[in-house]
Amino acid sequence: MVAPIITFTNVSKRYGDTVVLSEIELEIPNEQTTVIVGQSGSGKTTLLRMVNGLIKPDSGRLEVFGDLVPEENIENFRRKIGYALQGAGLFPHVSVKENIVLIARLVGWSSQDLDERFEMLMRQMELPLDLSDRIPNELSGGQQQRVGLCRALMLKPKLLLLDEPFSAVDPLTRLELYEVVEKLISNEAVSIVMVSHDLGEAKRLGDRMVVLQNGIILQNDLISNVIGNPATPYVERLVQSAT
Amino acid sequence: MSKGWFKVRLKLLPLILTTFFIFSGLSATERSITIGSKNFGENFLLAEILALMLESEGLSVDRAFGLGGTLICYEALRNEEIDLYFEYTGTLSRAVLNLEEVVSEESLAEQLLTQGLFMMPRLGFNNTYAIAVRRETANLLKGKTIGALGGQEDLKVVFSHEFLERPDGWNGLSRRYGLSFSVSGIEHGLAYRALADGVIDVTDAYSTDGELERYDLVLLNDSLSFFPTYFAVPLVRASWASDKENASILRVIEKLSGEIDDATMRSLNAQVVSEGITYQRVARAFVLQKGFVADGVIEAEKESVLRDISSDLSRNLIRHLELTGLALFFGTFFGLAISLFAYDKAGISKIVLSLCGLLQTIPSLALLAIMIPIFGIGFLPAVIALFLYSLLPIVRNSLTALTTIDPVLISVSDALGMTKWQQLRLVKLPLSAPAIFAGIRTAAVISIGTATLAAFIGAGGLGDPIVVGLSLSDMNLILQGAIPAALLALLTEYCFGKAESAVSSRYRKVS
Repeated sequence: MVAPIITFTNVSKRYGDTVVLSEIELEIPNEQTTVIVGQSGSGKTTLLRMVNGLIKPDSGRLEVFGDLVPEENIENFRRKIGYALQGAGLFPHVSVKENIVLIARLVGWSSQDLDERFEMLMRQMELPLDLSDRIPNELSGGQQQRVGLCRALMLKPKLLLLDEPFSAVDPLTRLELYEVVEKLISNEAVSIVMVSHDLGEAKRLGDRMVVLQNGIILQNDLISNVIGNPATPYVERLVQSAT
Repeated sequence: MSKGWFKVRLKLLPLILTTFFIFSGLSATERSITIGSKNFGENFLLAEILALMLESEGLSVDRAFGLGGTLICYEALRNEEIDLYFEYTGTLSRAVLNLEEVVSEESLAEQLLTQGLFMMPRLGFNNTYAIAVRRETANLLKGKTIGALGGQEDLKVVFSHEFLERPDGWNGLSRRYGLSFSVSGIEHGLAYRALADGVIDVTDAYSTDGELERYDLVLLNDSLSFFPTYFAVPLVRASWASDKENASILRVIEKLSGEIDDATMRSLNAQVVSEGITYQRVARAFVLQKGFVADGVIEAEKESVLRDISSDLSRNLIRHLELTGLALFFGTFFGLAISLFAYDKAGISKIVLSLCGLLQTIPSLALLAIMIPIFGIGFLPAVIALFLYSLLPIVRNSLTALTTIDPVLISVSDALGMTKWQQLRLVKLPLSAPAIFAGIRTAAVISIGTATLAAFIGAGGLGDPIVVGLSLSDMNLILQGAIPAALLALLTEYCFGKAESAVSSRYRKVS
């Protein structure tokens, strides 16, 4: 197995009396696409948001890029990780281009580098350049989601976190988005961790799958192994429901 | 963006400082006496009479006329903002010292001395409180007494605000005579006209008011002797009176002692209200006729400064804009600073909001009165009071906007690696801008309205002609202040509306 980019060691999280994650042990390998699957409330989004420090574990160790998630200067750490989420979460008050290049300008990119990367990403996401000056509300849901992906990729992150980015769009748009993500996976040397409740999506885009239920990992394996050899009756039902 | 903002602030700073220096410079004149007056005609007249007498002796007189009510005059005197005003003995014993019983003048003077005040000999007349009705109403009342009001439940009884509050006003009167009306309040200057027009049936009056003759009103008999006597007396600070340099001034003031009886006062008042002669002219004619001032000493053109101010629209307007502009500037600055400090601390936000809300509940005149011991009278306390009022809309809107930003956008800006400051500057503030702007707009419109009350503490502005007009029942004068103030509020609303849509249009079109 390739060296892990993320390592969870005995990580737990609770909100009040509710245990969200319980003693998680998990290694996520480099340059692969790992899909975390589970029902809502399974803890999958919490798991994802711990990776870029949006949520802090109550106990345990969480290493990303071989180091603990830092307490100080977490901004610099986060800039190495792309993040896109359901509904895109674009800033409504600035243009498409501003949304995408904002963070690169803040870290001091030259305007030439900035424009080159921006135009490359727009092409890759099959977004026409004349959308640059539009504001997010003038875009379709699918276009917004692509802009969200461009924004996540702007700083050329080695790790990309996707929080159900395809669940708020219609089925046809979703298929188009799968295509651009597939292209992305082959073009950029990036490790992807994606949260999904859709096993079909996982099969199409992922290399590995982590099945979560009530804060516990039921199975963590190559997708073909999960489908061929489900570890528990719950995983089996999950697999059957998707076929 | 932040640098540009800072530059603008730097540019404004000298302007603000200059404004303050100009106003602080105004009050720093040489040896002079500042005469205050309450906001009704007779008090204007008495103050002007004394001012003319002192000026004819070569003294310079500052006129702080039309200060709102007893409390403000009294506090202004104690805090050395004014040196003298004319008060009434009954008011001093009942409303100021809160004495239950009627006391002799000697005893009253002694008690005032313990407060550091010196009551000078009375002018002569007794301007007592009285209850006024129209002649036809009086004819319905048996014996034309206050007690006879008892059986007349359908009468509309409306009193001046001060009368409603004072222990020697409605509270005591209704108890003494066993009256139970549902009463409401009215500005004293408007009450007579309302009474004459039949809008109301009963109101409080001063027994020497000129309007009584003008509108043919009848004063009801106080058969149970509820109202104490209200002899007009000059009131000064004891320390001021014992200052040797003021001895000559005291001698001039004493010339008035016993010189104005009931009939004289009523007739002087009537000349102002019925014949439309300015109180300055009435005062001048009086001092000439009495021989207090030799003919020729007062130039005919030299009308009181106050009247000039009142009729000078542009000057009032500019002062009004200064009052509201400065208050709004500081309100916006501190309102935003407070909001930015408090918005991410739930407990502090709540406290800040309640405090601002509390400030808003203090009646404007009371807030102005509270300012006097701390900041004196005039421009500064008025700006501070307006500033305090402007805080609530700005803080409330800013805090609400900053705390209700879509949490997804906050997570996203965190995840992108924005620092807290970048997040505030690039996400939170721009997204809150329309709401913050709406708060400033509300504060501006409120300030323009409330600033008219600033005239009560001598701050000038468009309230000046309103206050003087109310005191003299001069509708023209009232409108000279009220119309520009209303237009100014509308214009402000319009301009802010335009600016606001320009700000929020950035959401639709960004280059």
